[in-house]
Amino acid sequence: MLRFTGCCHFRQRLLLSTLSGKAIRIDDIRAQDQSPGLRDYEASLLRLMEKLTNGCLVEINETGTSLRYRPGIIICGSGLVHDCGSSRSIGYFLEVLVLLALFAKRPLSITLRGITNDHVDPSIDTWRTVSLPLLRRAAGLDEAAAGSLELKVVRRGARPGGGGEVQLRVPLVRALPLVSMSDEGMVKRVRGIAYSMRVPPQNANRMVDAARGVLNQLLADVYIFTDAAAGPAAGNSPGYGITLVAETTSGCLISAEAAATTGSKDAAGSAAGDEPLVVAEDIGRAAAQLLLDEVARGGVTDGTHQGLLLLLAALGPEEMNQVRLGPLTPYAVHTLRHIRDFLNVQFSMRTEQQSGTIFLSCIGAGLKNINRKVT
Amino acid sequence: MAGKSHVKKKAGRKATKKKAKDVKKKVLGAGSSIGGGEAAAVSGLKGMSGGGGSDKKAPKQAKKAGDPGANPRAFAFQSAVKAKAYQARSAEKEQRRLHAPMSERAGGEPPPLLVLVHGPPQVGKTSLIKGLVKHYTKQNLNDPRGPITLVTGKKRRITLLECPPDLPGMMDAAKVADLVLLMIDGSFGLEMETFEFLNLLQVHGFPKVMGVLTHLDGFKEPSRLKKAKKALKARFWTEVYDGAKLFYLSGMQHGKYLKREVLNLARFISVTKTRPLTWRLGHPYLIADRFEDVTPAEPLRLNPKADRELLLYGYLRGAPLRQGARLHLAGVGDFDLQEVDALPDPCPLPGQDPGVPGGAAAAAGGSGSGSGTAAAAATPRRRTLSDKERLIHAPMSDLGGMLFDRDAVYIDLPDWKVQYTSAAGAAAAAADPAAAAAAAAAAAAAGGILQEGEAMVRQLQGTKLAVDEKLSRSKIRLFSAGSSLQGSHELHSEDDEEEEDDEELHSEDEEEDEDEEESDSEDEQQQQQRGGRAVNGGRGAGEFLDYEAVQQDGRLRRRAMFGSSNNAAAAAASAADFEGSSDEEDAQQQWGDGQLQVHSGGDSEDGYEDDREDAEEALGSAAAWKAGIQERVASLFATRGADLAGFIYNTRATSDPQGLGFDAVQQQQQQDGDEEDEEEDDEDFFTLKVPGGKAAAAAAAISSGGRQQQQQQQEGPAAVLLQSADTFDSSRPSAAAAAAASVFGSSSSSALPQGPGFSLLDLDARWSGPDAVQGLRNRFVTGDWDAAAARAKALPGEGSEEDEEVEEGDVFGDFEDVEAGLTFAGGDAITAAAQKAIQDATAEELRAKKLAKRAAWDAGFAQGGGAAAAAAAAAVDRGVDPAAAAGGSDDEDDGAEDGEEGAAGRPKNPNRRAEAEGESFYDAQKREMAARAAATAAALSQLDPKTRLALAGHAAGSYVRIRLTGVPCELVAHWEPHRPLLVGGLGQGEQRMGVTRLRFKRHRWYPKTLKTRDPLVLSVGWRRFQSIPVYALEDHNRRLRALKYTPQHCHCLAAVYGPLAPPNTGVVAIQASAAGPCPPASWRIAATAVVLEQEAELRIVKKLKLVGTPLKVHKHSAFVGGMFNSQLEASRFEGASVQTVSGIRGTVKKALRAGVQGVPDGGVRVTFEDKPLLSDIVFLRAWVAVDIPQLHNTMTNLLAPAVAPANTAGVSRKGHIKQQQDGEEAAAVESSSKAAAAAAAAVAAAAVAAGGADFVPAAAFAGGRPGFVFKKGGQGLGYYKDLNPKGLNPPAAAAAAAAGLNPSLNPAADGDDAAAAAAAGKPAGWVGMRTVAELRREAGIGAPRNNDSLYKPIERAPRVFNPLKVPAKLQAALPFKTKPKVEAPRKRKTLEQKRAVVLDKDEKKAATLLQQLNAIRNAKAEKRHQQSARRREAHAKKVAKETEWRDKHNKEERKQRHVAAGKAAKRAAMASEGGGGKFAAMAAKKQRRQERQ
Repeated sequence: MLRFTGCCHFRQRLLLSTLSGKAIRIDDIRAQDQSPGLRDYEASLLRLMEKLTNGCLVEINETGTSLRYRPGIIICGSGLVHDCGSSRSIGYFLEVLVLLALFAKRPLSITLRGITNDHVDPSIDTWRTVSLPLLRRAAGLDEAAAGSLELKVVRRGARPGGGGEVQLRVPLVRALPLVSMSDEGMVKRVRGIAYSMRVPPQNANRMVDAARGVLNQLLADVYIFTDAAAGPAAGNSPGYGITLVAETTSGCLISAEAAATTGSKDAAGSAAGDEPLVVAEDIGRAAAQLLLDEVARGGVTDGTHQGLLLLLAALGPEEMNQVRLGPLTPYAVHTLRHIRDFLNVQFSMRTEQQSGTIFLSCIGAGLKNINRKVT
Repeated sequence: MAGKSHVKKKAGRKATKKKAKDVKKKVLGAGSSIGGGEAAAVSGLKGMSGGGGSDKKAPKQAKKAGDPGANPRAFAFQSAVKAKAYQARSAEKEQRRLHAPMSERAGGEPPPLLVLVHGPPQVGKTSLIKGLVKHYTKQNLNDPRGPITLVTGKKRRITLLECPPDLPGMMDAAKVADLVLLMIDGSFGLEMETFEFLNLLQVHGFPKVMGVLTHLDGFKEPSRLKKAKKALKARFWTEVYDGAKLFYLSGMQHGKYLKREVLNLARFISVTKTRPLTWRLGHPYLIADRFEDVTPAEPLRLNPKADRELLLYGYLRGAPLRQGARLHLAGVGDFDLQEVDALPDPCPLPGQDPGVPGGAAAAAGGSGSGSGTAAAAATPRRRTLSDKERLIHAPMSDLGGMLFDRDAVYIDLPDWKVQYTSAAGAAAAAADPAAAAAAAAAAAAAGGILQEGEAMVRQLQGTKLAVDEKLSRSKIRLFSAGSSLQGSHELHSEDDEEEEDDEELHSEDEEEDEDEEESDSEDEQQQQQRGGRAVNGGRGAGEFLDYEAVQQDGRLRRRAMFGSSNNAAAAAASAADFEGSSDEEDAQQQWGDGQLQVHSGGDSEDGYEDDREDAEEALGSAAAWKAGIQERVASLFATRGADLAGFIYNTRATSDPQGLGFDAVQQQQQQDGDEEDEEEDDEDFFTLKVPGGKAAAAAAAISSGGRQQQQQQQEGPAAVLLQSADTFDSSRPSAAAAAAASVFGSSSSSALPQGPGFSLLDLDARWSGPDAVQGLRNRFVTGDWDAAAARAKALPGEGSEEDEEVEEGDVFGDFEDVEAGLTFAGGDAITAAAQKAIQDATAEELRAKKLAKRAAWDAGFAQGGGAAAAAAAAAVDRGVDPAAAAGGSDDEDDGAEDGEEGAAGRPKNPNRRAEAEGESFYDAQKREMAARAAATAAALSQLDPKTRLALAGHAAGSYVRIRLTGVPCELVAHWEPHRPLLVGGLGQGEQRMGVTRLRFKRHRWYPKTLKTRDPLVLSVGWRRFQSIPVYALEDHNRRLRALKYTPQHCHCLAAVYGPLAPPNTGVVAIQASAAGPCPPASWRIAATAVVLEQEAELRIVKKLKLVGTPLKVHKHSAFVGGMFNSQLEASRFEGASVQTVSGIRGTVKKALRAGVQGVPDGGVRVTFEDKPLLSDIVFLRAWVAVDIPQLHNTMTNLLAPAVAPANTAGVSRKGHIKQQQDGEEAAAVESSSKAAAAAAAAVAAAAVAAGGADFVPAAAFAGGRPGFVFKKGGQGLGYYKDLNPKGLNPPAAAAAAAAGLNPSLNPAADGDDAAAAAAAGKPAGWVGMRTVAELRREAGIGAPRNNDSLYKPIERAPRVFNPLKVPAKLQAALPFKTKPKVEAPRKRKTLEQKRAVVLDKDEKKAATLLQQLNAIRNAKAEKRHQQSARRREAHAKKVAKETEWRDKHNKEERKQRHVAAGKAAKRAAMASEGGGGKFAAMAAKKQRRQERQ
């Protein structure tokens, strides 16, 4: 049994524990906090895990500061529904869900309800346009199977009311193929989605203009779609934001996003930085500048997806998996440590001096889908 | 016609072949007669280095390559039929070749081929092993025990292993064998063991199998021998495959097999290839060839049964073994791998450097192969192995009295060789050698003859103090003039380290002198330190009698130090080892020691050591340890190369509350010269500058061309910040940063790091300037493509050292390129720039060349296959146009345009091209796999050894030492070398418990049906465990329906709780009793299965039928009672559907309260589709889940004493058992036989008491009766005699059961244990859960029975019907039609009966006339009848004559008659002669023929 302390990276611990079959124990979860113990979204995640697996054991002490988790067998299946609540967005849950479902007994088809876009977690648009293509590439899903890994946005939902709904389908894999991504390429085009819910649709256009204003200095091929949701498809709360994706000549996708931070009053993130982000132009410009940040960071993917890519490499075959990343985010560093603890896989890191990028390579754990039934 | 010509042709071909062979022989013969060099000249080769194969192949290849000879048409097909046949054959061959390709890891030296010698007892396994050892190494092994590794060729090693006779041992052996020598007693025939073992092999992956037939000298007549051989071969072929190799060992001479035959066998062993088996490729495993108990003495003293700490040694096989893996010891249990390190190969191949641990040599092949070639260049190459190279590694066999440890050699001195000076000591030695040693030491010391060191050692022998006390008291004088030092731990270890450092700097000359002197003192300390550590060669008996002397089997062992040159290193290494440090630094250091330490000699022969030393002296300064020292030193310092990895990995995330090694990292940061990039990274994740800022910094750095020095952060707030960020848990860096900022937003903003954060102002500030944005220009397609290409191509350098050095150049000024031997004076920008330019230029040149070469290869391959490609590539090397070299082709140069699809599209292209070329998909796949494996190996070889080890683990083929803790003491107590210890690595998810779903089939040779919930021992993966299966069948709607017994001749499903195994794993099931020491005579393998699925739980159901009766019926509804027991129970079934016997369906509506409408408790209201009758019966049909017992029991047979199989117990114990033990054994056998006799007497007495009968009638079961079973049999219900007592003596067994079901795991005395067990009638060895039947039998209880369920004959009384009486009144009233017509019998005659008849005259006359006429007619008819009968008779005669004649000529008839006659004659002949039926039949035939003629 692996022992951890503290609440950090709860998702990853659960995910890796389930994938590797090692039981964990986490102590001192927000023991010093004013409201100690697990948060509601973490409890929701645990419930989701119970939904997806068979025979898992979750023991939580009275105050919720200590957790014992013995993973079960990943089942998944279709026709599942999960309410993600309104404290974290759906993107928080997707990170666990997608990787888990690749190694399940049956293909996953689930409806998730909650917040689709916010300024905290990767939004649904990022998932649809960047994460899933990355997964398709890394999981070796060819054209025929690529369709079975899809995310359909039924309704958008913003903080704090939520009310969004997405449908996720994930196919099964036998094992992951070799991950070898070391060519970042040059940015050849930028695409994006500017969305708005329950606000005048001009907001979207204003964000687009502002973003183009920054990006057109470097590139002409910038096209940003606008999605002004209205009626039942717009969820319960007003909100707007923009997601930008830079596509490089080598097929890498680098994304950045920004969203209005009004309606949120909870602890997760009241105000970003010093002042709330409400003016549409500011949001558009911030997103574009964040995209420039990400491009400057370098690597085959952006900071948001570093952890995911590293996980995919570590779960890959027992060959030399290699990725090139920009400076590692804290999340990625923790991912590396957890990979070491759970999968017994270590990365070799070599820094390329001129660009400041890091070449990370590992011999994968060679994880196979052993949950599948043979006939 | 065609057949004939075919034969003719074949003959012709054979003849030509023969001729060719003759020619070749002549050439070779000439060569050998003249001498090596000239032979080479004759065959037109440069040298003889390539071995025999090359000169044979050369002409063949020449023929194949193109030159078709004088007449090309001679080899074309003449007939279409033949061409078709040929095509079909080649197609079949092609198809046979196909299997799912498996990637084999490209490693260095493969592990030795594991050759398993299997056979029933007394078949000659040990003799064969001895013979093979003798053949390969020219050494006599008296008692081969444990795995024996031999060098058999220049590229080949084998490990010989004898298969133990018991079933668990066979299971383990079947899982690891690469080649099985299946020994069969030819004089006896095939035995069950052979078939059982073949079955095990089939399930666990079928390796290569060769049969060996022994005891053929038992045949007197050659014809019978021939016949037996033929029969055995036929049977063997059906079992294995047609054409499987079967050897005949015709007999023994002087107790050995014939040399020639062993040689033949050895040749076949040496050419065997292994098959890739999925399980073995996916899991690391090793067979321990050494076993050492290194438990500290103190805990053992306190508790002799404390868990032990073990060291296991062996060649690693299968997948690489990573640090921190979990292992399974077959027959013991699961353990965490505490420590694994590669040791020098004890049995290296010739030309392989033994000094480099296998793990390091494996992937790189760098230093190892380099030194190998150097050595090879120094000595002339030979075809055969020299005697020095014929190594043998058999640590358990005590070969030549030497035993090798990691850092020492133990020389075994038998008692008679030890000569003590004092007579008293010698006398005492006879009584107690340990005490004698002390006494002798004391005596010698008193004499004052001994030197100081020796005296100290002698002194140590006598002491009884603990290690640390001893250490603190012991004194040592380093210099003759100096004062003596008091030893202590810390001081000592420091000394060691210093010395080790020194040693690296020493020149070898100095070393030789100094180390000789130092070694003594070093030695003593070492011994002192290692005092408590018992080193066990064979048994590992783990007794701690004295410090340096290990008492074992009455022998005294002493340790000698290793080779002269590196004593200090070895000592240091062992010191580091002993420190037992668990922290990482020490582990690293230890690892380094392992690197530095040089292995001197893998042979355990006495004389070999001297030879080796001589050789070293002869080599002079080029001693072996210096080979590749530069690489090793580099690797020692390579820790600096992995700094980033160090930051990330150095501390475990679990060890500190934040999940971050914050302090450690900070410290390291202080220590290391803060390199720019790493510092940036640090800040990124430790100080939590907002990540946008980081990127901006990078951007700024790029744009300005310089580097920004970031401010040093304060530790406190940063840590808090970080924690808060962790609390937040989002993968979006900006969000995490924002959240962190928000947490500390207004209150502690002063503590926030200064610098750009995620705020609009900051972002704007960063990106508003035109320069900032334009700085990123080259990352966009609108920018400079060359710059982008250069960025894309930039690699961190070949080795991590290189760019480290570049960095150091930046930071420290000067640096020296160790490899190139150049010194650069850095510091000023111009020099650096120049250097960089030069480097870039050379790199660019190299890259261009590489690209061109690659393009040329691709093009060449597309055109003319591998050879052309190679030629083209070579041409590029020389600088020629590749197109011209490849045959003047024009190809588009795809090496030049590498912008978009260059890198991404390239890996796929060759594939497609190859497929288009006609290469099959299979070949393409295989090639791609090989390429990927090679790429991985190449990438690994670029890493420094430490990183490589962390990444890939120890490769297969390396000799490793594994440390395990918490091993039960019974393993050590009952350890026997002839029980192989299999250590298997557990794969993904194999530690989890759950329910496995198996496709299960009872073995068709197993005599019994298997019952559900009877425990079975399953062998799955590495594991063997006992569990309780539940059998089931899947219905059409996927419902799993429970079965009580396994079905006949078909598969079923079995649900088994236990450790999970991946799907498609093979499973063998046996009964626990079959694994025991006295197995049944019949087939032992109960069933085979395969894992289909792993599940947390499995729902298996059985039918449930509840019956009730209507109590009250209304229109369509009724109250039904008798179905449930209570209202509560009934309420669970509301809504369930029911049915009456007459077929009316209904639904349970409501459970009724007791007493409502007079319904008893448990009644329900049911509505039906029609009105039911009160007499109907109502059924409720349902399915109830059968629970799968959540129980499993690892088969820990290695924790129980080993027991000889029953059939050899009394016959001959193998030589290694001591005399005393023999005595014990004999006593045990005797006592057991006595017990058996007593038990038999008891049974007899019981029988007599019961009336001397086999059957005692009893109407009901009245308690158990020993030796009897209560059942209903042929004589009715009662007690029958138990005809098949399993436990041999039920009273004793019952007593044993009463005493305690568990077998005693008493480590104190195994022999006694076995004897005691035998005496008690309890089977020694592992005893598992017993089946219910076994338990009942032991207790003398029959199966429980319900008297209602017994079958009895149905007695039905004949039904009697009363006569129907219709009242007279009614009769009278009835109409005639319905009136009864049957009259009562009359008592008086009727009037007609009574009346007399009188004829008158006329009537009389007429009657007379009629009578006369009738008489005449009758006479006539009679006459006619007689006449016709006569005629018929005549005709019949005539016809019969005719048919007789006809039958005689009827062919069919004739044939049948002859057949019948022949059969009769044969029978008669057989009856008369008894044996020679065939001859008799022939004689009869002859006789018949003669008759016919």
